[in-house]
Amino acid sequence: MISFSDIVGRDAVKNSIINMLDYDKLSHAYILTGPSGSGKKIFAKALANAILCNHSNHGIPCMNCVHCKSAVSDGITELYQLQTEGNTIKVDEVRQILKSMSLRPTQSNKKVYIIFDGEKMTVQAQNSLLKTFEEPPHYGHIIITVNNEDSILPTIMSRASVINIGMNTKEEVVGFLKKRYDDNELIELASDYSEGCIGKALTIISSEKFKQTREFSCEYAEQLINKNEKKCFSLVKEVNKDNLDDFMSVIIKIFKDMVVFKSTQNDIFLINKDKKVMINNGINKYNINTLLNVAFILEDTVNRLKQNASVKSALDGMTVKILEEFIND
Amino acid sequence: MKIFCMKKDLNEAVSSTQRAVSNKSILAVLEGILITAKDNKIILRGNDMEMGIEYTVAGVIEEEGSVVLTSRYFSEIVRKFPDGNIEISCDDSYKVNIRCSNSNIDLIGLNPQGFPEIPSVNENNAITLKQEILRNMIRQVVFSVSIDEKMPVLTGCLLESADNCIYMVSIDGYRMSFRKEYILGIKEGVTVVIPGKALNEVARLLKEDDKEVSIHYGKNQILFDFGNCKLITKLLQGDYLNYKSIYPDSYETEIEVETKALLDAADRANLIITEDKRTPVKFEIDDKYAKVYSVTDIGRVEETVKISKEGKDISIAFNPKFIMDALKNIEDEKIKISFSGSIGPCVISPINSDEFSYVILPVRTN
Repeated sequence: MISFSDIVGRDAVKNSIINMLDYDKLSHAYILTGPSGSGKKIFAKALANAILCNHSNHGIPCMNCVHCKSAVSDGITELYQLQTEGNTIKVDEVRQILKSMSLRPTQSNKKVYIIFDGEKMTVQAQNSLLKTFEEPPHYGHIIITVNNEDSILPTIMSRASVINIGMNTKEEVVGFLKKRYDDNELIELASDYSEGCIGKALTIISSEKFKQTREFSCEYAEQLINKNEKKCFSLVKEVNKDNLDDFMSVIIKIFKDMVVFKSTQNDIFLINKDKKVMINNGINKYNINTLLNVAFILEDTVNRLKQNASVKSALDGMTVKILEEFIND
Repeated sequence: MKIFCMKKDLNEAVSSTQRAVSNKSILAVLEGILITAKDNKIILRGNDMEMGIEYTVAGVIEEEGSVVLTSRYFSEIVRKFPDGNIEISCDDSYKVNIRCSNSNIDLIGLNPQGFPEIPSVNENNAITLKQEILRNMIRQVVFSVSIDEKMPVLTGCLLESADNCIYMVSIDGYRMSFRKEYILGIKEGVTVVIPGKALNEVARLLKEDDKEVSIHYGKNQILFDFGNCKLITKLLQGDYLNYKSIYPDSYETEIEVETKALLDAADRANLIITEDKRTPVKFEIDDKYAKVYSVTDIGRVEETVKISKEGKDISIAFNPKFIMDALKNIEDEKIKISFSGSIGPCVISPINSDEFSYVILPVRTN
């Protein structure tokens, strides 16, 4: 059974939630926000278990009450979860789980409903929550986890306690990974790329896809540095929606390395230590202003992609601009 | 586990417990019926998280044990067996063998661990009454529970006890059913809202005889004990409407009429009314007769029913289903109907008592 003791770091957030539990000042609804992979699910489940356990102490379940016993054996609990495989959470799915809210709890004194990936809720689905949000039964609590707050209606946001669960420090991520993996170099790389999200670090460290995408992105960066435009354009064609995010994040980190290395001349700040040859090549060829301009171009492209620009045109545009910078250097 | 029971007994038990089994559930065990053979008792159990049914079957236990069998198959198998003795045995890996006369069926059972227990409800909080009385009460009230999920508390029936009486009420926004039964010495101070779905099952399990049913109520759930069978259901949360305030303060017209005559007239007027058009049945009431008629694209039905009247003449229209639902469940030969104008609620009640009443809102016609 998941409890707050399973969560690495984030003491400030944890303590404020535990205080709420200790003083019995729970809100009827929580919205947990944070980037994907930052541990919203585990937070939501820990909070749910702490609420449902009748004798939880400082947020740690007693392991002795009806709820704890049946949660440990995967039995019936008063925790209702809505997790979708698809791209949207429809109004019927939300209604379905909230239907049981009016029936009184029997396995605990409370009932907790968790909606994972709340940003997938359609507008209608969110509106169907409103009534329950306004007058929930005294035993009912709803937790929604959200990657992107902007996709939640203000009417819902204003009726819930919003908790930003924040991110881990790099040391915490490294510490966490070291317990599970041995390859120090890989751990270092994954924790740098994870941006403080343990979930993200785990996918990076275990997924072949990320490694492939990274090699591919480095190849692209190398061709850019060598001003090999033909190769650049043919590589960029292979980027699709699946690997786009990883592709951009790798490219940005490579150029960040170049800027940092050029100005500090110290390789301890390097994220992509294994690509030192290429980075050296880049900083020998171009001056700092050009590299900074490239960084701005990359940032601009990421913004355009966030605003739903076409992947192909955004990346083609980016390649043209970067090559222009390099040629004019 | 190894048990023997008669097909008739087992079939009754399985078809009863099956009502509390959901076809789709997060937990596989909840799609099944739990058979427990222990302490000389064979108990079948079904539970869908909202409601649980426990049924004790007569039979012989050769070896104690328990197993969960998928309800869909188990119930069909038992139903289709010929009359006679059924043998059910199960090994440690939950492989189940069912035999009856010449047929021999192997089923894969499930580990019963994790199957919810029927929780104990405070034994002191109990009311006891005759099964037949409770059955009639439910039947006369439960049809008007709301099916609209927007007001969850109205999807249940209110059960109250006070002043040596037990009351049941259901409201769906357009009509209200009220039933009262006088039972000397009944425990007072009960106020619970029971889901309509569970009450329908309770009515199904109740017998038309002199046996008693005891109702144990807790804060969150209520248990109906029929002797060899128990039903437990979660209670609905929320404040029930103050139903007493729904009755109009004064009436403009009061009539007395034969129940059957009025029901038949409404039934015939309903013949040409299709569900989708929702044409109302109209009543025109004068001193001696009530004219019951309906007009639709298909035609016109008109009938007069003899009545006795006090107060003003009135012309009023109703949803035929509402009128018929109420009249169908009335056993009295003659009833009183009180109108409070052609757009105010109308109350159907017995002539000389307050045992039941149905409040129906009329349909506004132009």
